[in-house]
Amino acid sequence: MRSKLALYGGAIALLLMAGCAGSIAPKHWLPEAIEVPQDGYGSWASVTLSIGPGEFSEGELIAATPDTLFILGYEKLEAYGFNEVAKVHLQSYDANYSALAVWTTIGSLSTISHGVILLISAPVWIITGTIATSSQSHAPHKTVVTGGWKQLQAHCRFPGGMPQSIDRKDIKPKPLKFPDQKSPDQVDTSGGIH
Amino acid sequence: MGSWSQQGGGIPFFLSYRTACVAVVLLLSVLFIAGCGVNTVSKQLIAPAQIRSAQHGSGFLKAHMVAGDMYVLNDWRIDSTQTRIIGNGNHLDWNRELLDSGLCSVLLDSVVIFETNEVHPSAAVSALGLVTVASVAVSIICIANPKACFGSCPTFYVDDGDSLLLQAEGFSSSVAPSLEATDIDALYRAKFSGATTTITMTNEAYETHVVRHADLLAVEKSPPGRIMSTSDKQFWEVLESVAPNVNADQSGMGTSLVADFDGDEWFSLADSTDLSTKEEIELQFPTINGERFGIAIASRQSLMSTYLFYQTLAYMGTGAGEIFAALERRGPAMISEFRSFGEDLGNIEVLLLDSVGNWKSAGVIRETGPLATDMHLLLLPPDVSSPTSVRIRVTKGYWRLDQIALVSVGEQRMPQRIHPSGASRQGNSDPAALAALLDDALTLVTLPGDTVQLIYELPQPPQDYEYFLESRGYYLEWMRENWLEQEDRAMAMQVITNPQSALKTLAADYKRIEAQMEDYFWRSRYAK
Repeated sequence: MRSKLALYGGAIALLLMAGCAGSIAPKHWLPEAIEVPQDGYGSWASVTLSIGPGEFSEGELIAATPDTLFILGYEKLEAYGFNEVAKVHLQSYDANYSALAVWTTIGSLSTISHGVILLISAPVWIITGTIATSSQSHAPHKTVVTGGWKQLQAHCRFPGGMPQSIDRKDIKPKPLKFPDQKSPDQVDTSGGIH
Repeated sequence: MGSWSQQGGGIPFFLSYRTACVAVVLLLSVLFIAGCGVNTVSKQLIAPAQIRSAQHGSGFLKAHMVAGDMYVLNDWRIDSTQTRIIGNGNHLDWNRELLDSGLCSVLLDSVVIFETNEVHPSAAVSALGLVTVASVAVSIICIANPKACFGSCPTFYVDDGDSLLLQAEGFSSSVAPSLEATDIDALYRAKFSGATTTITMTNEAYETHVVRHADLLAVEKSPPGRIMSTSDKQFWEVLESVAPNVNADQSGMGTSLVADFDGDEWFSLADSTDLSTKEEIELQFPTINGERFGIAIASRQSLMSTYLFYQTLAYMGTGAGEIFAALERRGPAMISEFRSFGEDLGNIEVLLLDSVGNWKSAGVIRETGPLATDMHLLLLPPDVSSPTSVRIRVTKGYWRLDQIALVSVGEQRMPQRIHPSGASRQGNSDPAALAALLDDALTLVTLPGDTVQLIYELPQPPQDYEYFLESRGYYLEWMRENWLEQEDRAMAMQVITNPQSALKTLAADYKRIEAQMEDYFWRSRYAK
């Protein structure tokens, strides 16, 4: 019976995770949802470039002007003309959906206490839990493509555009909540358009 | 399901049922609270010119400055000159390092854009919260009343012209081999056409069903007349039928509920001190023509009978098999006495006024089973003319009455027996099942979740016949693990030897669950 429970629990957990959107940011980089109103940094962006197959960049979204996208990557501040960008995938905060996955798994397994009613209650748990967990996992994600670049502004460290008075080489990456983890390095000082 | 089903409640062997349920309730409650920390965020940018119309003080406001620095303000407001925004908060540089904190005054002209972020509890949490509350409620009900969660009888689903409708349950009171019995159920709502029909026999409970035969009985009728069966298995032609007079409903019983065989049932609640307490309802009928009359009643039992049977098994606990074996060894008389415990409760008694104005019993209708509503005819004595007043005496809370009609009765009819001509299990042809049903020396055994389709060749034209299902057999109720917690041999003996006293003892317990029992019972069918 115990192995059966473990098997069912594992199957439910796999089913739950299958439809979920994983985090695209480095571990411990994203704020919790509750921290967002006081967090001064931009969202994590994963940029698909159109300049060649497999060309890709990622980092903190710093600013989006009408023609240029600024990303603070692992090594330096990168700037891309929007004519070079195919797609930008953003994540604004940590969805914390694993709590829902655990909740759903335990809830589904708990239906063994329902006797034969579990024939109804277990599918209700699994279906509702899968939809809820998947929905929560996707909530902080946003994908923006050509024509929608203006939507990126709200997710930038500088939503009003790149401040003229800033020396771009002085822009620092967001410190991780746990400093021992890998973080984006200090930015390159050139800041030129690639 | 596998081995779970044999344990009834499906609880892991290392936990008691009650412990498992309490653990589940507590764990889900903790998770529910933890889930309240799962949020979503909606972000909005506001141009400086529009900030004056924004709702002041609504959470944190980020003011992005021309130079790249930022204020994060709480409790903010626009000052009286409409040129500054004032609030408590932090002033951060472009790398978001703290420059200053406390009361801040920000010149609107120096702000590039404002940003607000509203944090909402996730809708996913609400959805899971609802499921959790419902799930915990089911767990709690199963703690309080495990017997409401399981059980049924051999069930037969028959074509009603649109779909398969539960129209019969076989030998519901035959709970031991020595109680094997023949049961006839009217397929009053069956609508057959064509050369054959298929009746689906299912086992939807934790029971072993042992079926000796399941035959269709066809009785020729003369439309618009119908054919009805009596409790002693006679078939009579019914020529005319009238409903009770709604205007004469002085008892307030809701006469309209029993006017038609339509699924709208009349029922009452059990007595809170003695489950055997009877009640009478009086009905007025218009006079109809005819030579002989009867009372037709479409009814099924409430779940009180199921509760009493399961509670008795729970009291027997680990000794149930031993006690049943002992009852069987003492012969059919002893076990019939035990069964009469339910039958005394279960009669529907019809009373008529005699010549001097006293109410006298005209007979009883007896049918066991809470699942399928069955139509029965009580033939009134030959010398009785069309009665205008009829009383029905039933045990309070024991019956659900769908239709009560005064009928004029014609001739007695003999049925034509139709054996099944084909059988299949779970969609696959099963010659062995068919052979078992055709040979009375053999039996067809079904287990929880089994479905057997039985094919019958119909007389022609099929609409000229009334149909009944005659089933013979018995069934064995499976002991549920969670019932064993209530093992009480003294109470078991009280039920067997002094049922009247037991019905008073059990009244309070039954009243606690009476309201929810029907709902949970129907949701607890076993299906593969």
